[in-house]
Amino acid sequence: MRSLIIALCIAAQAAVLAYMVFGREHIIATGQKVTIATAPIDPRDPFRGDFVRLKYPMNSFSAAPTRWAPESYEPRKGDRIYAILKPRSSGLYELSYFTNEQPDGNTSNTTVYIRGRVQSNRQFSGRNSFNAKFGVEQLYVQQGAGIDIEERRGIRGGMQTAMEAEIAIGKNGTAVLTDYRWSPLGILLEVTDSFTLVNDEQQSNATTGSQDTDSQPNTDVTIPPVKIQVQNLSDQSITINNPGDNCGFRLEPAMLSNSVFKEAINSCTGNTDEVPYTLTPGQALSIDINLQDTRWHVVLNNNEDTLPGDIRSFTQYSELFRVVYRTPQINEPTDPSTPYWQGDLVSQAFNQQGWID
Amino acid sequence: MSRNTVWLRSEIQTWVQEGVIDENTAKIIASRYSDTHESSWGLFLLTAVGAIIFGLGVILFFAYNWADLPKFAKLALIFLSLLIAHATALIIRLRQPQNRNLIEGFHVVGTMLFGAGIWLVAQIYNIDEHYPTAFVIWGIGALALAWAIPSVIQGLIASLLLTVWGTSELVDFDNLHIASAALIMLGILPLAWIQRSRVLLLVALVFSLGLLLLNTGIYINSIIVFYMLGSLSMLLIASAYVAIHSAFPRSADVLRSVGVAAYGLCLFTMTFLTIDLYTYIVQPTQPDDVTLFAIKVQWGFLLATVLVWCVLFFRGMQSKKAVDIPSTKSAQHCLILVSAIVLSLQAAGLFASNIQLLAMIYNAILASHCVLLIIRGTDNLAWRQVTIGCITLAILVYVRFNDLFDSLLLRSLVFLLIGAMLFLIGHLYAKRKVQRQTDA
Repeated sequence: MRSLIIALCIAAQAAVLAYMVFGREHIIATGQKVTIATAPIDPRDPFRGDFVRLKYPMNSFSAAPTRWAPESYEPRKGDRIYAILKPRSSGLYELSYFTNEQPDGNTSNTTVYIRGRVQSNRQFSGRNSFNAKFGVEQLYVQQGAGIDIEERRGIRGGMQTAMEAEIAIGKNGTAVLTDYRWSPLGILLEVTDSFTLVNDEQQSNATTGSQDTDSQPNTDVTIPPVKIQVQNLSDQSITINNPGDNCGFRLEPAMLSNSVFKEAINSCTGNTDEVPYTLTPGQALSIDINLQDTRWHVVLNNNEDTLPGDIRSFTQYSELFRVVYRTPQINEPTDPSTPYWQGDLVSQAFNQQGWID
Repeated sequence: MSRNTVWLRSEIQTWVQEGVIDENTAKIIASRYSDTHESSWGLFLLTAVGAIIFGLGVILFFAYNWADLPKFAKLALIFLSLLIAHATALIIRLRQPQNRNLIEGFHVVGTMLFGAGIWLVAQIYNIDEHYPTAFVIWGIGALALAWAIPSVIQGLIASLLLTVWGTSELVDFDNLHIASAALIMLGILPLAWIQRSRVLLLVALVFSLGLLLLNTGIYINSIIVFYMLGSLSMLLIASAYVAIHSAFPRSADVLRSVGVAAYGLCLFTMTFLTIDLYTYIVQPTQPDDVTLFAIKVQWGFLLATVLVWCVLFFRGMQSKKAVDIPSTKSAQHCLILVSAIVLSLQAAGLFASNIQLLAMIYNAILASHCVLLIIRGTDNLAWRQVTIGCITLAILVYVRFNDLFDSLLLRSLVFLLIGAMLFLIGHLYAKRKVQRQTDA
């Protein structure tokens, strides 16, 4: 009799493991498959053993709006939370909003939700902050492979190659990380020596709306303060759409939904032109970001009285910015034989003092 | 077979030969003191540690070849190794049930592989969820086997895992977590009692009380923890007197040891009381509902402690059938009762205007305990008691060096007194030893 009881306990142990396995296998087999671009993460994070830390836009509450129920709800560590994802034309899924109420099942092909837990409700903009985790933030790789992955993702000052995670999501939002792939394009941000700060007069003129053009930062215009390089890392040619004044690229605050800044109206606003640019394997496209040009100016979000200005002139606000390439809103190219690459390229973040995160 | 058992067996033979006892009585005595796990503890521990290290070796072997294995090969390895380890133990149990160490060893390997299996499956599927859940599942797996076999080592593993679970929930996730302490108290303490295992009792007691106090201190209020710790320690000492007459009399040692250690710690802490420090140990004046409940529980413990020690002390004084308790022990019981009363009055705030008196009372109680311990230890030639008493007294004097004695003359006098006293104690101890040998 006692042997039977022991056997039952052993069977229970095996059953627990079997439950873990079959639960995940069921999600992989029947769950909705989505691909999500990972966000840059500080390479100084120690990875324990043989796994790599991943971060997604949905790990930060600042990345998207929140729809709490009730509105006064304050996320508390350990609370269940749901990130609603919607597909983009590139095939990747992007974060739409956060909610604390479980949506109806993942039956829709257009939106899915992923279930997670709150880690902290403080608003962060740094790489290593996690407001919420969804169970797909670590990738186990074979011994030694983690370093290669970290290097390919990009270290401080290096080429950033986005890792795109392939995730299967079950009906209740449980996610299983199944695989990953690399974006075929990489982006490199460089802050040059000509990146200077602004003085108090320039700062004052920016916030009060002075038209004095002499108030712009006095920089050597032959060397732009910021440079971007987009490189084709694949073995096939890639065509991107980059109309007008590099209108495929934007200067965005890192804390997109909680920033005091927004992009000012400029020559790219409403531009729907097509200017294909083909990158052969290994070829790079270099772009100068002259922050003093109105093309890259920002304006305060809630203050209509301020004029657009160079980000460096708003030193009373300390924020991080990124240069982002987003596929312009043209899905059908004029020449169908060379479809445009669909996706996002996100550079490293930098602040108004030229410090790269 | 332990040394005590060997000695007893040989003595029993001698008594039978000399006609002191008959064969029947010899058998009864021999069976009363048969070897348990604790008497073969060394061999048992060796087997268990060997099993754990072997299990870790298997895990490392998996890790070395992990990258080259297909997913289902990895899963098959995990399940097979778990089942093989436990099945081997079951087969040995059926064929050679007397080989308990080997049975326990293989079950320990199986439990270790169960834990490894949880982490390895998480690794295969890149699971990054609430990690304390893994510890509770592992712990419950060990606990189930601890009852099923039954097994002390499985109980120890379960105690450790459940403690890690509770601590990580509390510290890492700020969750008030009584469940872990409750699971240890309800799941492991009874097992320790049934198995008559002092080690398991000690571990379960320390872990469960530690978790309870940690939860209360971090989540509710640290002052309440202090009063609860003080009263619990005295209750544990009292429970030792009850345990002596229970089916597990040896548990009294554990209960008394844990109780005395916690009681001594509380007393020693209170000897440092000053006016500035007193503000930190005042009860919260406007408690929320949870804190209010905790305060009520605290008062329940305090009053129970006073009541229990009143009964123990006065019953000991009046009972004619009681074992001849040395007068030093009666005096120490009186001191514990006084401590309980003083602690309660302190919690009620009655010493708020006279902190120095309170501190002096605690110093006097602790010093008295030390002296009584020394006297009893010298009388009984119990060198541990003498040593503990002397060291504690010396530490007390040392820490009081600065804050109680301003005058250099006083300090020198105190040191001379303590030094002379220790010298005298040593002399008395040696004299008593010689006298005992002569009497024998």
